Amino acid sequence: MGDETANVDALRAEISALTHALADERRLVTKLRHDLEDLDRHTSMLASLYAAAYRLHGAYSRSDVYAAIHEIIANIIGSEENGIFDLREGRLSLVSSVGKISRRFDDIEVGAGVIGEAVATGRTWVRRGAEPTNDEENVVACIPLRFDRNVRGAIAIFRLLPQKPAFDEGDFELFDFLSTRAACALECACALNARAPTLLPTP
Amino acid sequence: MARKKILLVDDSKTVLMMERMLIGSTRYDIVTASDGAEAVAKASKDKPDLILMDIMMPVMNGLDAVKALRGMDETKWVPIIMVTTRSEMESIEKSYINGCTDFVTKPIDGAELMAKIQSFLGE
Repeated sequence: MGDETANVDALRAEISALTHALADERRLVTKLRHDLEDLDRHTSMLASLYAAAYRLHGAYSRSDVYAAIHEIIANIIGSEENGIFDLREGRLSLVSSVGKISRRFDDIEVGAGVIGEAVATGRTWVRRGAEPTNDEENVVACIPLRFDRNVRGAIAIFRLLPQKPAFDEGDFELFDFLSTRAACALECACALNARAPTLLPTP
Repeated sequence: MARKKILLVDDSKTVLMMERMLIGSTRYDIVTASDGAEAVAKASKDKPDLILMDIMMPVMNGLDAVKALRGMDETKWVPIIMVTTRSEMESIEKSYINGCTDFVTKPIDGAELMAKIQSFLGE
């Protein structure tokens, strides 16, 4: 009887130890799963930035840079309604767009509305919270195009694709990237265009 | 063991680069095409193990390309994943009617894409 009790106690102790070990393994699996999800997100973000850089800096004319920006916003961020503005004599002119964009955005004063404000401050603006209640507020993000310390224009995103509920961390990284790199690509395209007559074409 | 071959079809260089980065060209042999007609020609020649296909493309769109691929003996059974900005039910239904195997929407979720690729390649 004494032996049987001892056996039972030993088995109970073993079960308890195994239960604790199993709980530890489950915690480890959960942690590894989270680590893998973080790694996937990080990989996706790096892939996005690399693809955007590759496309942007492979564009050699102003129109091709515009096309590259629209492509990046459509395929990586997830919007088919966006516009690119150029700053000319204190006003913003819509120089390229995709999707249905109200005519009221064709010409904007710097400082006016969210687009004008983003250009005036040089800071990216992102809508947070409730859906817009009128046309004027129908902008979900505005990214000033900054070349060195100067703003030369802006990108405005008007609507996200239905399957994209909100911006994520990767999008904010891409906004920072576009703010400077897209501006740089546009400046380079302009400079290349001016230099083109002096360059030697390859056979 | 020979690496599996994946055909990437999209008229956007950005998307092709993204897909190439997410999939990893060291794990698979990657072939690309920039329209549906080129995709049909390359699929017939290179015999990929899986195809990622955009819908809206010049020359021949993805829906017609899928239909053409399903009509050819050498490609009728290749898994085809549509990659599209169009999440409307009509677009998805047309894709399945024409013979696609699955779809993902843009912007591409890398983890979702890889899970589907590995599933269809039996990995």
